[in-house]
Amino acid sequence: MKTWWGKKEERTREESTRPSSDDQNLIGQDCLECAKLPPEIDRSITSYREQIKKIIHNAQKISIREVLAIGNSVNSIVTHTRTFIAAAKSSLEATFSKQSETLENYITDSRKTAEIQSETVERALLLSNDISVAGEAVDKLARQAKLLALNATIEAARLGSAGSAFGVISDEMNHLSDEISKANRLIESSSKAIRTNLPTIMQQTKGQIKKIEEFTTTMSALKDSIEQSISITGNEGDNQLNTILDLSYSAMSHLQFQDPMVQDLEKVNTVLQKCHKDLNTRLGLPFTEKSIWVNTDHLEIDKNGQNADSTSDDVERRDLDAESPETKQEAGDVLLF
Amino acid sequence: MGKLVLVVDDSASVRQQVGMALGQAGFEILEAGDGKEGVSAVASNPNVAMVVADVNMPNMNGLEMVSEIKKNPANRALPIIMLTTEGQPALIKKAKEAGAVGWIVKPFNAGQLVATVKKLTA
Repeated sequence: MKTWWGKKEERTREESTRPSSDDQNLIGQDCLECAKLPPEIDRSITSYREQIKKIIHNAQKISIREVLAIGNSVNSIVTHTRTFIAAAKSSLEATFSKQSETLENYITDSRKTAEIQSETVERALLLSNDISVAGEAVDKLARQAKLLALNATIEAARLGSAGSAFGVISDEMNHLSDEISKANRLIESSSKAIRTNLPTIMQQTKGQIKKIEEFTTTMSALKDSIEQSISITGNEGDNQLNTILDLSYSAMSHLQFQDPMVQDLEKVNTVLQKCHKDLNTRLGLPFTEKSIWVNTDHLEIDKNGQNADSTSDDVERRDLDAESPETKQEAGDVLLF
Repeated sequence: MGKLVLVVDDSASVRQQVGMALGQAGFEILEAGDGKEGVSAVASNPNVAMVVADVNMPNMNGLEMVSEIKKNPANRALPIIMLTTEGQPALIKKAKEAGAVGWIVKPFNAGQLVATVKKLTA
């Protein structure tokens, strides 16, 4: 299939191999004798080079148009994806932060409650011990009261009828002493039950606190892990997008300058330029290098990926520096002064 | 709001490529199609933080543009780097003398360009 630029190239080749009648008259000994490069030949060679340059730029135009369209799509996709990732990351962070805060508050409250419970149990154990000590004192008092009642009963018996009233009091004291002993045994029994059970409750409470602490540690590790995952996911996504962008830019940039056909045509142009120079040298004429500069305004890409047609005005000749390059910078080099 | 970078190139596709690369990196982009437009853009936008310019352009080339911009004392600190297919030392020397601070040869690496612009606008 012939492309329009292919036809152009073909035409250029035909033109380059078919000298005009004027050229045929001017090329040869006559020209060498007059030692002057006929302007027609000079114009002709320059014209060929201009046409080659135009073909090069037309070829570039195709590459640029297609690649830029893809590049624009990639750029658009990357931009949207980046926005989406940023929004998702932000939303995830906000949700996780809120849930994490709620859970942390719950854990803190649970720990406080368990600690208060533990302290209360410890205090109850101490009180229970105090009750036990008090119980022993009360028991001692009850026994003394009973002994006192016994002595009173003996004294009342010794006095006979005169001590009968006193005997009633001693009986009551004896009865009271028995009741105190009975109540004290009940208190001691309850206190003992409390003392037996409280350490178990206290142990269970401490176990609960320990579990809460373990849970807190696990939750903290989990939180760090999730935060790290969110961060890595975001960064990794960003890195991947940057890679895609770099590839896209690289493709755009390299296709523009390294299209094989363009490179071949550049070689043709260089050969033609050399011929031009050789011809001047053979004629003993000074050769001033005129690099062909092509206006690339026509490479403007509109929204539909279309280019404006190039015109003959696209090609101009501009003086570029012709000094011999000693440390010429290569493509991609970055030089900061 | 990112820093404003002026991209001066007669090729819209190059302006687009540079704009996309720097835009993704968070820079704001201002475009000019030749040296004259570049000079006007700098004059009318005092918040331009940096200029990335081609050398071979119609009306006014990149080197002339750098000289013109640097004539204004207010622009002495404005970093300007040349982004061009040219690599001749003599041209690079001229750019340096005109007041440019760097030279990148096309085709450029987007990452390197962004890193260079970030470094010069930091």
